[in-house]
Order: sequence, then structure tokens, then C-alpha cells
Amino acid sequence: MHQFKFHGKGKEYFGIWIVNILLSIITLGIYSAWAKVRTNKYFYGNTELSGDRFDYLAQPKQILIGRIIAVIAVSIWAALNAFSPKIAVVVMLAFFLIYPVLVVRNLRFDMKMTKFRNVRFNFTGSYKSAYIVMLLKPLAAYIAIGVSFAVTLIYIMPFSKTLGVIFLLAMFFIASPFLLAWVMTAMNQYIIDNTGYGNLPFATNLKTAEIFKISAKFIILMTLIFVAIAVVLGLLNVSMDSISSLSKESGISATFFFAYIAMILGMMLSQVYFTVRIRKYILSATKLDNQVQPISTMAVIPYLTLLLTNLLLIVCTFGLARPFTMIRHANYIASVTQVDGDLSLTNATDQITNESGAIADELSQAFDLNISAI
Amino acid sequence: MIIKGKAVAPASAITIAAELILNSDGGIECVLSSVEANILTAADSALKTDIGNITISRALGAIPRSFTFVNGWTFTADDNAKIDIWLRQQNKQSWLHRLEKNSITIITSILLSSLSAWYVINSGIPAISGVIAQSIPPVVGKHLADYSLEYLDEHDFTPSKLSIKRQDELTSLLSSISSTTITDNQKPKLLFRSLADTANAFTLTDGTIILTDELVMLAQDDRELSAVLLHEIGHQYHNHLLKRLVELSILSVLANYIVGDATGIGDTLASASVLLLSLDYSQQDELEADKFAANVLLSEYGSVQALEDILIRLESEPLTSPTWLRSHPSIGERVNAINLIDPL
Repeated sequence: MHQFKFHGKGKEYFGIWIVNILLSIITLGIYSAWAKVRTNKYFYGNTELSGDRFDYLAQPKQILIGRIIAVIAVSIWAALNAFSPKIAVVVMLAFFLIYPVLVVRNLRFDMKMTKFRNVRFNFTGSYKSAYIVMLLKPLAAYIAIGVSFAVTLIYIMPFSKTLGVIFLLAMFFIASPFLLAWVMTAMNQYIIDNTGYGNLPFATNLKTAEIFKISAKFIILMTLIFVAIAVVLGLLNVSMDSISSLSKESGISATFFFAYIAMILGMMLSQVYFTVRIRKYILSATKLDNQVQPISTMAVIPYLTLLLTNLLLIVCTFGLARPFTMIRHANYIASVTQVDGDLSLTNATDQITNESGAIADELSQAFDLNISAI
Repeated sequence: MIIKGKAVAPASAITIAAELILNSDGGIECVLSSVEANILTAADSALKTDIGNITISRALGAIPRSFTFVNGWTFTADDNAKIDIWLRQQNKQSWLHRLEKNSITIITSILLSSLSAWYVINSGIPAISGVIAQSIPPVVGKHLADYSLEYLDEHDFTPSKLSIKRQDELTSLLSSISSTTITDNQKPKLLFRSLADTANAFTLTDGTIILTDELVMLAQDDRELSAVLLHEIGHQYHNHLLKRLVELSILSVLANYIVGDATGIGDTLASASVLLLSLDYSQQDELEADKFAANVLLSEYGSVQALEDILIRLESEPLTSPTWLRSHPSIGERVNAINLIDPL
């Protein structure tokens, strides 16, 4: 059993982070490309597995070109949004059409820039499969939900209210998590099966049924939390009315404040539950070269606590604590990730792949398309 | 000096314990220990080189240094301390690494970064937005104004109940004011609407001004209405509306870039900060429009009293929300600012 270890130190990284920011400001953003490489090199280079470190290989100049194009694209997008929402919608549709291409190119770049010992990772997924798993299947899922919703409302509701409600509940608690699981399974299967460490392939055998169980529990958990909040709110309001009407206004705003915080916490809790469980399952179903087995021991409460305390740190320090929170996060992720199997990897050899730029990488980062398995 | 570490052959994942010999003349040699020698024979001779023909990874935190030979072999050190001494002897030190470790640079960086962030937010973004807003073609302003008016008419406004005569009087009041103040080619247009018990005036992006019936009733004389109209013309004169749209776009892009991360919480934080900052910009704009109106009033009538009167009358109910949550500054602050223009 090999444990991932993270060696980064908050104080050490703070210096790198703040100098990155200052130099980026002085150079009007140009240095940010160098800063990104330095940041990634720091996090990859401090991640250890079986005595060896990872390395990030991207060149700042590639990143800079990608970044300039991404900034232009984002500016055009922001301007369209402000001045011509109609054209913005058309552009967004066009963006959805090229989205799978962006994701594929992004994955190719990220994998190729990741090195362990003298062997790089790679991604060889085809565009065709990408369109199926990232565009066609999600679209089909949305259409299925939309059509069954419409049919229930138009044809079943007038016929029988009870039957209609049962149908709606079934859609919410069974059909939607099933479709979510169906889409997620295909997407993760595609990404992992097309990823390799040199000539050694990753392979996974994901079952829709397993992911469905997690998705369904996620939706039930979220519903329970919202119902609980609603019940508590109801009780509070009733007691408020009967006790005093003097401080009613401040009472109501306090209640809303409480409700808002509770909602955010509830959302976070269910999100974290989902992330933790999915990660555990996907890693357990994945193998490198049929023998190396990754394992996740991430748990819901510790991870939620980490995210919450990180959030508080960032808010209380106006962002200055960000480098510390990044180190804490990396530390935690490494501490809950293991690999079982023979890591001498004697039969691994690096594969030569053709060069590709960082444009898709920067675009997907700029538009916040965080696509990755796990 | 001799450094312990491990070597990896090109394109391979097999690590071999090794020692790196660094000579004071810049010579470098890598000696592999456990020699499964058959794979090494060809490379062996090539693992001897000098500092000019090898790639040494840049110092970054405490990450182990790696040496990459021309033939692709790499050596990674167990410990950086000796290498740093040797590199100093060879005059190959990373100034960046030294900056990142130096507490004076770190403190200076914090101060300078915070200062520039403050400057960019306070002056940079409004200034750049003003310039960009000037270059937006009038067609866009017209288009946006039509859209907003259509929206407001559908949702909030009801038709004005003012008599045609009163409307005509006010229209000619506006044209008499604007002919003396606006040098721009755009002539402001005046529209009348009613808005459920709310005394207010609006400016659209094409320079159209909308007065609510309630405001016209609230004003005690036409001089106060002139003050209101001048305030709205001030917004138009400074191109505030388009400027604010540009400001919002820049802010959202920036906030998403800085705060945004994988969790949805980042997005909430980003939109909250965009909202607060845009409210601050809005307050700056209001004061600027007040100043414009006060200056004109002062030169035309010799007094800013009318503007102060209507502002105080508008403050019919005390506002409970704190200053930083409002789009307009408090009336007290506005009256004080106007008084600065006419200290008497």
C-alpha cells in the first residue's frame, strides 16, 4: 500500500503566491502565465508517491498565448452579456457545440503536462465519443426529464391529482438521479478509459446502478435538509408571532439570515457527500495496467469541516489566507488517497504524442469548465 | 561534492539509486549504484557533462532539484542543501527563489498588492469604464433604452395622470435648462409615468428622462423640478449608465477570476462582492450627478437651495439599511457634498 504524501508548507507557499501576485500586477498580467506554471510546479512537485515526485511540464509561453485568447473571449462574452443578451444566447449555444472539443483538448494538454518519473500521462479520447458522452447523452437526459414533466402536468394531473403527484415524486427521486447517474457513468468511463500513464492504460468498469444509488441518496439527503430547515423556520415564525410583535421585523430578518446560512450549509453538506462517495466508488473501480489500484479514504465530515474552515479563513482575511487554504486542501487530498499494487512500473515507457497548445486549457479555466474524472 | 539521489532512464519509470558528483570547475558526473548494467552501457559515458550542458530544475520551495542530461537521463537529489552551495559557487542562483523567501519582499508584496487592488477598484475600473463607455456607439444606448422602457412599462409603470398642459410646461422647462447646459448633440427627451406612490426620476441610456407623477406633486415649485432634471442630466453628461454597465462587466470577470473556484460557495462570494462594489460605484455616480446639478444651479440661479430642498423632501421615510448596502448615498451626505459647492 502506497500513501500519497504532500510536502508543501503554507508559509513557504505564501511567499511564492504573493510574489506571483505582485509580479503579475507589475507586468499587467503577463507574468500570470509564469505564475501559473510556478504554482502548478509547486503543487505537483510537492506531491509524492512511493518516494518520487510528480512534475508539471507546461511552458509559460504556451500558457500566455492560451491566456491572451481566453481573456479576449471572456471580454467579448462579458460585453455581449451587458449590451446584447440576444446575441449572447446565440454565442452560448455555439459554445455548447464546441464544448466537447474544448474538454478533449484540455484533458490532452493537462495529461501530457503531468510527469511521474520519466513517463508522462496522456489522454487519447476521440472527439466522436466526447460528443456522445458530453453533448448527446446530457441532452437526451434533459429532454427525457422535460417531456415526462410536461406529460405528467398536461395529461396525468387533470386525470388524477394523486397519480400526478406520485409521478412527479418518482421523477424527482428516481428518474432524475438515474439520468444523472447514466450521464456521469458514461462521462467518467470515457475519461478514465482513455487516460494512460505512458503505454500503460487506466481502465474502469463503472456501473450505472452504483452511481444511481449515490445520486438518489444525494437527492434524498438534500430534500431532508430542506424539509428540516422549512420545519424549523415554520416553528420559529409561529413562536415569534405569539411572543412579541415589537421586535418582529428584526426577528424576521434574523430568521431569514439563519435560513440562508442553513441553506448554504445544507447544500455544501449534500455536495460534499456526493463528491466523497463518487470519488470513493470511481477510484475503487479503476485500475492502472490491471494491477495498480487507487483507493480513496475521504470522509464526509472531515472534508466538509476543511471546506468550511477554509472558506471562513478566506473571508476573514480578505483572501490573504488563500495560499494556506490551498495547502490545507492539497494536504487533505493526499492524506486520503492511496495506491495498492506494484509501483516499480518496470514496463512503463513514455509515449510520444504530438504537440498541442494551451488554448483549450486556458479557455476552459476562464469559463470555469472544471472537467475531470474524480 | 557528492550528492545522493536517484536516477531515471529516459522515457522510463524505473528508479535507480545513484550519486551525483559535482566538481568545483562545473563538471558533473552521475554514478549509478545498483547496476543492472546491461541497460546502462550505452548511456554510461554520456552521464558525464558540465554545468553548461545540463538542465537543472529551478529552485522552488523545498522541492528536490532535478538534473536532466542531454540524452534524457534525470537525476533527482535527496537533499538540496549541498546543491545550493555548489550552485552559489557556480554563480547560478535563482533571484526569484530568493525573493519568495525574503520576508521584506513578502511584506512589501502584501502592501503593494493590497494598495494596487484598492487603487484599481477605487479609481482604475471607473476610469477605464468611463473611457470604454464613451466609445460605445449611440445605437447601443438607444437599443438598451427602448428595452428598459418596454420592460418598465410592462412591470412597474402605469400611465401618467398629469394633464397635457402640465406635461408641456415641464417639457419646455427641460428644453430651456438643457439648451444652456448640454453641449452634446443629444437632446434629452422627457416622459411621464406613474409609479405606485414612489416619487422618483429616471434616466435611460439614450438620455430619456422619466419623471413620476408622485415626484411632480412632491416638488413645491418648478425650481425644485429643475434641480431634479439637472441631476438626471448630470448622469447623462457623465455617461453614468453605460459606464456602470462596463464597470459591472469588468467586476464580474475579475471577481470570478479571483474568487471563483470549484465550490459553488466561491460563486456566491464573487457575486456578493460584485454587488457591494457596484453599489459603491453607484454612490460615487450619484454624488457626481448632484455636483453637476449644483454647479449649474449656482451659476443660473445663484443658489443650490432648490436641490437641497427636494432631496430632503424625498427622504420621506428614514432608511434602515446600512450605508454600504444602498445604491444612493444618504441625504445628509449628499446635502453636505452640495454645500461644499456653495458654502453659503
